[in-house]
Amino acid sequence: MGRDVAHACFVVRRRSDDSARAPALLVLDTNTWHAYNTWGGRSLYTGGNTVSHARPFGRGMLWRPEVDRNDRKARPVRWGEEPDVDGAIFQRYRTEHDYPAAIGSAGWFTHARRFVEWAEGAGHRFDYAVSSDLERDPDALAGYDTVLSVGHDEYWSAGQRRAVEDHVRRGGNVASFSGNTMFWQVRLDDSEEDGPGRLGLRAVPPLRQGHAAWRRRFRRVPRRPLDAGGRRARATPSSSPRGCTAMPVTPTSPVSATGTP
Amino acid sequence: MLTCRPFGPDGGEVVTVGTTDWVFGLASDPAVMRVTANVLDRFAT
Repeated sequence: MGRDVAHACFVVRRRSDDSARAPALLVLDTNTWHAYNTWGGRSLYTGGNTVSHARPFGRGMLWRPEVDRNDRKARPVRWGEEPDVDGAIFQRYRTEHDYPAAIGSAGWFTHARRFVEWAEGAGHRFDYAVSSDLERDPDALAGYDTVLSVGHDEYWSAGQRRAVEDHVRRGGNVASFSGNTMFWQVRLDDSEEDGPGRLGLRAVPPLRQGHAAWRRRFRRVPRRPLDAGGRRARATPSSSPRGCTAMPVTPTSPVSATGTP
Repeated sequence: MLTCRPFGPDGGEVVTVGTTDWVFGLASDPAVMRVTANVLDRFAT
């Protein structure tokens, strides 16, 4: 129970020849979910510099039985209410429920779920994809008027970014209801495309977004394959989240797709 | 914060809100809901 429980999810893509296509493609920020996921091993914040796409998500990232306003670090303050300084209320909530810290930063339930439930309630319909689709499927954005991004879309590969930039150059739109967007560059490890995919954290200094140097550095990062130990993906201490060191994540014990959360 | 920027005569439009917590306003904040609805009506309908 507790943190031994994990969840997996499926994101169903719309066929390109489906006449029922929606005008907008919501690209879920799954790179960020993987970056923060600690289930069965390290996240990019707890000592890992590669994380597997093949492991499930920690309990609470995709689904929780309760909807709680304390489920994030930056808890909004109501009129006359004491602020949650240092996120103490959030930390108490998640430890009482034995959720990983990741639920405050990433995952479907905290951010995207709120957007989709609201938007669908207002009559909007979207098609869906995940972060890596933007790089691995060259036609992922073809035929869509708009790319949507929601929540905490922090981790992007150069190929994903290029796909969105090309989309805008062709006249497509982007609506980003996200913060901290494109802050860290990662690289998809195609050498494991048929096995556990990986995100390699690359050295991208945390410059201000939109800053010219930040844009140049984003493009300059070489696209090399990871070696077995992930050493080429090693981020320098000054540029890695919270000083993480090189350590590949080797998860996954067999996981059942069913069970109680 | 919300910015909207057209990218040249052939480019599309980009809207960004610059906060991870925008979605939390969808349950309670009339301005956040109105702005979001305007964007979706224009870009995603």
